[in-house]
Amino acid sequence: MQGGNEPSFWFNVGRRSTGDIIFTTQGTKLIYENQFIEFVNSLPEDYNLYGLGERIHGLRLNNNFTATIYAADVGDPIDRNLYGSHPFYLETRYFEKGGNGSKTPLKQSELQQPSLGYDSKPTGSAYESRSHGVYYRNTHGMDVVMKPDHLSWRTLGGAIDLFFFDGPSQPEVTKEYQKSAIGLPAMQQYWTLGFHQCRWGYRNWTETREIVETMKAFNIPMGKLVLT
Amino acid sequence: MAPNAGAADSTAESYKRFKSQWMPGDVQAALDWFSTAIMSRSSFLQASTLLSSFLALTSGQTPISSSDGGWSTTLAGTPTSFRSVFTLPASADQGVDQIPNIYDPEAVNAQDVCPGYKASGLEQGDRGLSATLTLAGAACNVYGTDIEELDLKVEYQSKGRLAVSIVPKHLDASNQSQWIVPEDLIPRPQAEDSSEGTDLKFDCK
Repeated sequence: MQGGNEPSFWFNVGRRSTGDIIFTTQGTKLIYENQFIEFVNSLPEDYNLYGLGERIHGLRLNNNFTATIYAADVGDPIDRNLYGSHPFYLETRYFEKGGNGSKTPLKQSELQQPSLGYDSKPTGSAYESRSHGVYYRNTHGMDVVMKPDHLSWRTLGGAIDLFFFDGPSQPEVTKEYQKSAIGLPAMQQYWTLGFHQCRWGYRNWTETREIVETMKAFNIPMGKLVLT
Repeated sequence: MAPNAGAADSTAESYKRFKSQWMPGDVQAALDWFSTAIMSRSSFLQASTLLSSFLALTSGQTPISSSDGGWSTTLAGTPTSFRSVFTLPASADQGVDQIPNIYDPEAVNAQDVCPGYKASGLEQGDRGLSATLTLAGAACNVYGTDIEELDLKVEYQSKGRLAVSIVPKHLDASNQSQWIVPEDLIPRPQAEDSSEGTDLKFDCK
């Protein structure tokens, strides 16, 4: 399978080792305007996508859902855009191992092994999985429109700057993304790992001090007190 | 809860009450489905939040709203009534009636009306390929102005990483910042010494 020009420009990203196509824009159009860019990639039925934060949502993204990426400080809206902007997804695909080394793609709903991935003897599994990552380095407002068999990336500007990470395990994808694109999380000072006391509406120093004294009186270790 | 219960809670309580009082349901709803197209209401949210916390702090009491849209409360033992004075015009509340594309059944689907691109001048290199993309028909200009010519660049950056970039062909100092994310803002992953043994494969021919 190849990318091409018919009916208009499209491309594939695949794996040499297995021939899997992990990303394809076949049958869709590239739209490239000064205030709107859209491209579309097909996905297998019942796909397993993780990421595209920040939002309050199940870990595995819904297959009919719009992930809006636009940093906003609006309380805790379920399923909506939040503080962080992470135009990155990790996709996991499952395969059933056949006799002569064949691998048949499987939907997640067809997996019959509740302990998948946590077996003490993983060699006994009838399945294997491969993961890859896609990072879209674009800082403009973005909608990632997920439909049951494809995904549309829409941004309000900028350029297309895509990065594909081959994995093929989840930890490898995550490491590749962190080490090359966003960097590792900052090392935190010791006290930040402690207990943080916070409440809206401490009025003054006397009241705040009382909190500290009370914590002390009850032997509750406290790493920080937040004044708001 | 009795007004001015003395505890710090009264501040938080009156803040909450003010918040629900002064943030009409429709504004809250609009904020809840805040999407890339909706921005105008956030400033009102900030203004009303500031106003309510200010009032909560100064009065330390539980004001009561009256039918004419103002409040009355007791300040230092004196019954006082006052009306809302917005630092923003009240019309800021109204905003523009907008519906995000993803919820608008009448929004034009760019896939239906735009021509796409054709690739030409494909050049294979050691670490990838490049090509020119040219608009494949009449511009659709559906949500902006179509860019006629684009540069496609594919780079095998390391064993496990492939980069695909598509940028307008004609970029210079005057329009660079509109398209290209500055390196100092978010560094771009750079090609490593070798991409030998990569499992990834790009195809467009």
